Amino acid sequence: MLSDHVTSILIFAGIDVLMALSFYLPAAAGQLSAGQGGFMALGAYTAAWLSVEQGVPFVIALAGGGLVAALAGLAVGFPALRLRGLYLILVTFAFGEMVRVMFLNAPVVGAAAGYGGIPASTTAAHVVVVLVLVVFALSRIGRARMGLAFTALRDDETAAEAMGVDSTHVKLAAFTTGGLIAGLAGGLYAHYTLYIDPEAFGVSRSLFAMLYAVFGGLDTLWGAVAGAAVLSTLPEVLRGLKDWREIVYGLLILGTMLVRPHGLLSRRR
Amino acid sequence: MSGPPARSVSTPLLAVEQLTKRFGRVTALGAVDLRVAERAIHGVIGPNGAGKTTLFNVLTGLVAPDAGRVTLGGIDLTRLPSFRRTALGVCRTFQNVRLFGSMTVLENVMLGRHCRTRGGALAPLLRLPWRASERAATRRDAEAVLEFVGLAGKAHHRAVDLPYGDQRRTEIARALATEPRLLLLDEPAAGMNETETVEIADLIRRVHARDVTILLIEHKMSLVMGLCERVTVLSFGEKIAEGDPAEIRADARVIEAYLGAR
Repeated sequence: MLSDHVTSILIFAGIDVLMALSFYLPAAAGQLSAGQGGFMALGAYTAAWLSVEQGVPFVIALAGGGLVAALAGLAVGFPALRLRGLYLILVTFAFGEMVRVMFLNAPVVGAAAGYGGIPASTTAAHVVVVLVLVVFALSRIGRARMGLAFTALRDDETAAEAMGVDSTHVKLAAFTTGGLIAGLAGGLYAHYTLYIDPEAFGVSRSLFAMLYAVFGGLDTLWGAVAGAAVLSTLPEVLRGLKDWREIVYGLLILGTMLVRPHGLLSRRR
Repeated sequence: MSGPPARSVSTPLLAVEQLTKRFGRVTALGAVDLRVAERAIHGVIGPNGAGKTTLFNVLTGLVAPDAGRVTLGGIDLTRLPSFRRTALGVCRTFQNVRLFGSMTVLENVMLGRHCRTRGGALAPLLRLPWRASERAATRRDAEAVLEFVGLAGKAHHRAVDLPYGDQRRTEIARALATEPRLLLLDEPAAGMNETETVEIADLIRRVHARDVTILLIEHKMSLVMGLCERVTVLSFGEKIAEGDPAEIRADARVIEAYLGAR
């Protein structure tokens, strides 16, 4: 069997892949979000609260976290209908911060002190199962009618509408599904770290989700998967470099983006 | 109005009443009336800035009018969003081609089938048998349309990599895939040489032969006069003339608008 250390790296990498996919999904429909950490927080806190206070089975807690985050995704989707590009990034960023500050001030779940006593339910198998299900579902959707509508909206929203695509419907579906995936990631995370605090889901969480997906390439969902898998495990590979690690990490990202400006797996040059 | 009131035998498919659109102090459309007969090829001409493209944008719901009414076969479209009008049978091409850049030619046309097919995000997960067959049908339909416009051999090219003329054909194919009753063509022959213009005229005739009503904006007079049974002339947002090609050619106001004579 794998050592605990390797298992832990794989679990965190799997969660990072889920976060990258949660960013990829709205991005595939042209909707850029800088607030996926907020959805992860909602999933993590909801699932943890269901386990700790309600004593529900792990699967139910996980589903509950995903559901709450999906509903939040739907709610964020509405203002997103009127906003594009930088303005949308700004609003989703504000949403993420709002969620973080909300949990910072919520005594029911420990406020700033964090929320502990979460049962150790998440195993590598759970992460793999969730990941396989999510990737399988997204790849099927991607090749079907809705997948084409997502791409059309990203390429040219006006033309998509004029060709019969209900852009409202597609955008809400994109944000809801993105929220769901981040929520599942949050539930898995909470039941592995056993202790969560709002800072774990702040702006850097949101930005790394974005970085992973962009680094891997936004053409396909496999870009998000590859980007997160590589960038999430790279710090472990570079561990020997000690103080130089962060610098080399940054340089490797820069170098890769110079050679492949549209991401690792992009077909474009 | 010039010429005799040659009323069409059939009731109009498209009826536009007092359509008005202002951009600031510029009146792009000033109370324009227009009736397009079922199965007509109807031309819209006029100097640059006459309001032709604005008319198309209002008809397809991309721009909201300030006043007036648009009906298709008696159904009021005026307040409907763009995608609903497409479902009701109004589709268009764009003056500056707007194909989906990351998609192949085939995918662009398959997207046109969106409003004629069903299946949300959950459908492909349920693996319902008719869903799989519907996807295959969408592909077959799109391939048939590509065959019809003469692009079957380029189905798997990226649409934006094609020569300009083929991109325009792809746009027509994508619009045809939505099964329009009324097809709005915005300068389909712009930037084309004479051979290509003749080919596009032939394509428009073949589309028309499939019982699609066509409203055509075009600057190339040979194309308009050769194809259209009726022509409407716009100038500075006003309808200044309407009639058959011979009447339009002889109309003093049309000549004035084009030559700028005073």
